[in-house]
Amino acid sequence: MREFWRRFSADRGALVGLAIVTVIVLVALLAPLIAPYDPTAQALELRRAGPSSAHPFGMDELGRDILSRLMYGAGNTLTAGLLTVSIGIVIGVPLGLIAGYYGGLLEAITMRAMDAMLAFPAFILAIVIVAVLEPSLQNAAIAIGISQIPSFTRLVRASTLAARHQDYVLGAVSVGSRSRRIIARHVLPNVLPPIVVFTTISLASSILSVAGLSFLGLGAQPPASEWGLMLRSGREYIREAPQMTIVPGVAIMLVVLAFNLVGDGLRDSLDARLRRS
Amino acid sequence: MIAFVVRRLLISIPLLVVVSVVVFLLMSLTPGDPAALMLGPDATQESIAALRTQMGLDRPLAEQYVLFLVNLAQGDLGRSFVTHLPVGGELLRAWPATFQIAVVAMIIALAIGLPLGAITAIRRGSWVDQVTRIAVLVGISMPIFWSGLLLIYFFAVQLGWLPTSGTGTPAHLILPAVSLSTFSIAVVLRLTRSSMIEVLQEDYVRTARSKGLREWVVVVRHALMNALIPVVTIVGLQFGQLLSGAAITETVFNWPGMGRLVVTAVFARDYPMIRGAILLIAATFIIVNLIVDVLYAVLDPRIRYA
Repeated sequence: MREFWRRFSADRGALVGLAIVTVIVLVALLAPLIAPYDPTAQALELRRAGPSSAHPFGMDELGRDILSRLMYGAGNTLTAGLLTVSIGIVIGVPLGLIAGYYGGLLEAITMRAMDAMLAFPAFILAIVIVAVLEPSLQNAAIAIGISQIPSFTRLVRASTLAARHQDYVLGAVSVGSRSRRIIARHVLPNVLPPIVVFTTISLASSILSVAGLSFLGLGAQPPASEWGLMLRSGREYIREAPQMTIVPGVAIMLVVLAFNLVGDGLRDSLDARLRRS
Repeated sequence: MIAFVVRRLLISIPLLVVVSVVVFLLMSLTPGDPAALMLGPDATQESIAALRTQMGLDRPLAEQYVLFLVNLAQGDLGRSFVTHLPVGGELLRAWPATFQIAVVAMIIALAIGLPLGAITAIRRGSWVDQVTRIAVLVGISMPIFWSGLLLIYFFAVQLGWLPTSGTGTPAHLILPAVSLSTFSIAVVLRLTRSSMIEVLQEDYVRTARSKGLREWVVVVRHALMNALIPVVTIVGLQFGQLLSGAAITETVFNWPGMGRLVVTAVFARDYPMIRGAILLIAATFIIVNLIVDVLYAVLDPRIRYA
């Protein structure tokens, strides 16, 4: 663990990423305390007003304070991202473990099903799932989560296959340990590092995708404070009030960039097999 | 070679069948009666029941699927709930528009990603490499709907050089294609760089150098050509990414393609349209990957015999 931290903290980018993530998590948790205004309060006389000392990021089309909406939106963005990767993990990881460990027909069926899911471009698949479920932020997260299952399954299966043939697993099999025990005690700890790295990077792409669905009107619904949704309304006023587009866009980019930086840092310090050149 | 293509084709067919089952089930499990949706709120119970019989909705699911396949084989994807026009015709009008921006975006991604990837691999650690690394991170972290809006803001609203949206001239194509390509540029660049770094350490590159060949011959003929092999596979996968991104880019730029069609259809709950569009997108994706795999086998003989 200390060795891991030594390597991770040597990576300046990863530390910057971690700092941004920490700040955004704090803002999300403390939004009700630190936000200067109610995110839904309207000051109609200030509609689309540019930045000022009272409203540093300006106002939106309904006269709501963009900074306050941004702060409240952080929580929505992070929880949606977490829900998304949890679905990928909870369903994808066991499927990958089972397919990789037992092999045979079970593996063939699982992997062909994953291939079929991968035949759809992921975001398009998510759009269709939202169409079936009705648009909402939660359903957008579920849809993106489902579309990520195949990636988790394939990753875990590949790592499980590699661990399956290691001496310590073969040893455990030969002394008659039960399969479930072997998977939990010997295989899972070895597939964990790639899962952690992949989860972090998926969190970045999930946040982008969920915001994308909200931007299309298929995710968070008004009057929610959600960054993708804020961009959706900003689009209409790009001439008169560019801050409505620029501010939430920068916020999305920063949080995605931060998770990508942390993911890269984790890969380099945690997982020798995935190490980048 | 022919054996490889045939084998690869045979793998694609069951995949297409599974895709059709998935799409069929997704739409059949959707809440709401398609017949009632199609006729609107004023329809009587009798007319809905009549239409259900006519559409075959009262038959067992398996029979409905077979009917769906038979119609599909005849190119009949049903009629849109909204426009009442055949879905197939609408899709055929939208498909070329999407294919066009996806291909142009892919060309941009390769034209920028390949040379920059190679240069940063050769000049590893230089300032070019450092700056590019940051640019790549920004590229994969930037939402494409946002980069699209920024492009509109600067090049169309502020500078007035290019049209904000719509179609018609090649100028209309530039902004959507550029915005769609940002993510793929980053992916192609990253992979070319890492693949090139690996290849540059190979024995055959050292041999080429020790033979006294000129540096650019070593880099281009011996290193880059081999480094490109893994890049080819990512092109197929990136094409899926481009088709996905098209849903957003087309909405931002009012581009009349498949992506916008799907999004509009989802809002209108136009299930025949959604189903047809998804099938066509998946089929395009599968076929592009098939072509890429064949190309891969042409480039790398080891794949054919594996």
